[in-house]
Amino acid sequence: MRDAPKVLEGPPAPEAELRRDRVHRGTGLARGAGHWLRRNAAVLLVYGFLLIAWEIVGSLPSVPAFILPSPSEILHRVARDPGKLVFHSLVTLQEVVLGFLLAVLAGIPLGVLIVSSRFLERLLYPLLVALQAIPKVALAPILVIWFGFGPTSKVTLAFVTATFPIVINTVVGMAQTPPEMIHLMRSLGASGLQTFTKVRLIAAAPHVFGGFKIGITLAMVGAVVGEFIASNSGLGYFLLIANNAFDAPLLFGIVILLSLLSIALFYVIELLEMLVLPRPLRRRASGVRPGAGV
Amino acid sequence: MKLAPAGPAPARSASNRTPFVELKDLSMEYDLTADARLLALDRVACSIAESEFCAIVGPSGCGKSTLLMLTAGLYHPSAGQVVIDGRPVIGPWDGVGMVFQRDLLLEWRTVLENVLLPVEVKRLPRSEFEGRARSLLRLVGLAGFEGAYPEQLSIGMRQRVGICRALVHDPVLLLMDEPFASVDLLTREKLGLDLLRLTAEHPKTVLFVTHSVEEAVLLSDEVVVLGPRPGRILRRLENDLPKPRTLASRSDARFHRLVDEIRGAFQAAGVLS
Ligand SMILES: Nc1ncnc2c1ncn2[C@@H]1O[C@H](COP(=O)(O)OP(=O)(O)OP(=O)(O)O)[C@@H](O)[C@H]1O
Ligand SMILES: [Mg+2]
Repeated sequence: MRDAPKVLEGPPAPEAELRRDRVHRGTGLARGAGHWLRRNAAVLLVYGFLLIAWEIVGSLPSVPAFILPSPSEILHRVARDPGKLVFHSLVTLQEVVLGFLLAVLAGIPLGVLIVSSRFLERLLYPLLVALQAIPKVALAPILVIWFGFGPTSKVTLAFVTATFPIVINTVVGMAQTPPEMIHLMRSLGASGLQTFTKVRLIAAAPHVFGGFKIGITLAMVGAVVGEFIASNSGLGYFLLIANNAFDAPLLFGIVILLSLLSIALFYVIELLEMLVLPRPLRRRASGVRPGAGV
Repeated sequence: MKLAPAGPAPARSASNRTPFVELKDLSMEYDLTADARLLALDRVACSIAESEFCAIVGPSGCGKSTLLMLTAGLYHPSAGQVVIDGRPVIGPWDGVGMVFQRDLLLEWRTVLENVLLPVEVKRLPRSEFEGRARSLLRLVGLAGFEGAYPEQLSIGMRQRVGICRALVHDPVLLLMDEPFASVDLLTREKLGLDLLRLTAEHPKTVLFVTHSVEEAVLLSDEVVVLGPRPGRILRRLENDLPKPRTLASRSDARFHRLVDEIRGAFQAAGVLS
């Protein structure tokens, strides 16, 4: 029983101090980096090993470069003409970020609407599920007809793909607040808006951020699929070009770049989460603690 | 304040015996489906004097929580009415503090910020109430934990924070729904006696729902015994156990007599056995 003594004057029990300490640590960039290296040494080692293995296999004379180019070949190819890669990356990034932001702007209010009204739930849920179930490849031609070859159709596709997880996670998050808490707020004379801003929205935030993380990666998929179908710029388009030219090293380079961009965007969201969420909610983003009231 | 406008003010005598909370033939029916209804409370009538600690015991599902919700004005009764200090309740009203079985602390707020939630919601001057919040926390042995987050507290400590939150805005009525049901027996009695100290310091009318007959007798001035659903009052007992109550009160002969009496009422209604 970690209970406080009956009357406790002065500082909190050392145990409370200890737990607080564990939660936030790490000052100074250098120390942080050193800490990070030590913690991830094993992971880095595994990746390093795989890269070396790939290099060896890729360099074998029996493995032609158009089947599996080695990492060094890919790097060479990419370094030869980085300007195009940067240009197409920026196009794709712009589509992804715009589509994602639109998905956030639409997804959260949609989630809130679904939670707040049975009628809207029955109206909107099937629609969203249906939209999500349509293969995006099938949607792309229609969007191109509507919005043309330019980035607008890709932004729309990214937006459509990313909205679903944000809506669903907002709904799940909003349901986190137990009914008693809403009763308690009402008994204090709280307005619906007060209950929403002071309790429900904040309680939902970790889940909403979970939705963002899925959403941003899906936005990338949506944008690239769009570029693949009909486009004159962007990494998806460039991928097609490389493919048609049988330029395997470039093809691999673009695929790797796409993954790296996705990872970067994912961690940007994670960083944002760290900055925005109050401390006790942060660690919970990945897992719900049992027995926690709200 | 969502009470009906005051009628002719009932004379409040200095004596504690004027009814403060009156339940007037209170019935509550829930709609289960379109054509199935469930009678949860059946013409409950009773009155509780100001500053009195009234314990409500009854079997599960007999409508105890419903009774508290009606008193807080969160639900509307199907028949009858709740009258507070002479004025009928017609909606949530100022002056209620609530504690539930779950502590319902907001994980992202510190202990102090949690306690100050009612002050914030009601837009009361924080400067005035912060001192009160701190002194309440001190009274329940949580001095030094103001800046801690709920996740850093034990269950018993969390529940105490919840009680401070219910008291911070100085409500006239404290509604508690099995507040100590999730803590162990030892902590439970300690928390109960903490609560008595708090209400001695800041006199409050208390409606306290519990499953534990012993807890009801240890803490209350009066016990209302509800029968199985639909809840109606089986008995009301004045609790003459001497004050101040301590853990030693449990060995008082009157304690056992009262416990037996309540058990007897349940038995007669076929709840036990
Ligand atoms: N919102 C609701 N809608 C429909 N029925 C309800 C609702 N709330 C309570 N009931 C029903 O009313 C009855 C009384 O419920 P209540 O929660 O008041 O009982 P209780 O005495 O507090 O029980 P417990 O001791 O188990 O908490 C129960 O049968 C329950 O099913
Ligand atoms: Mg109950």
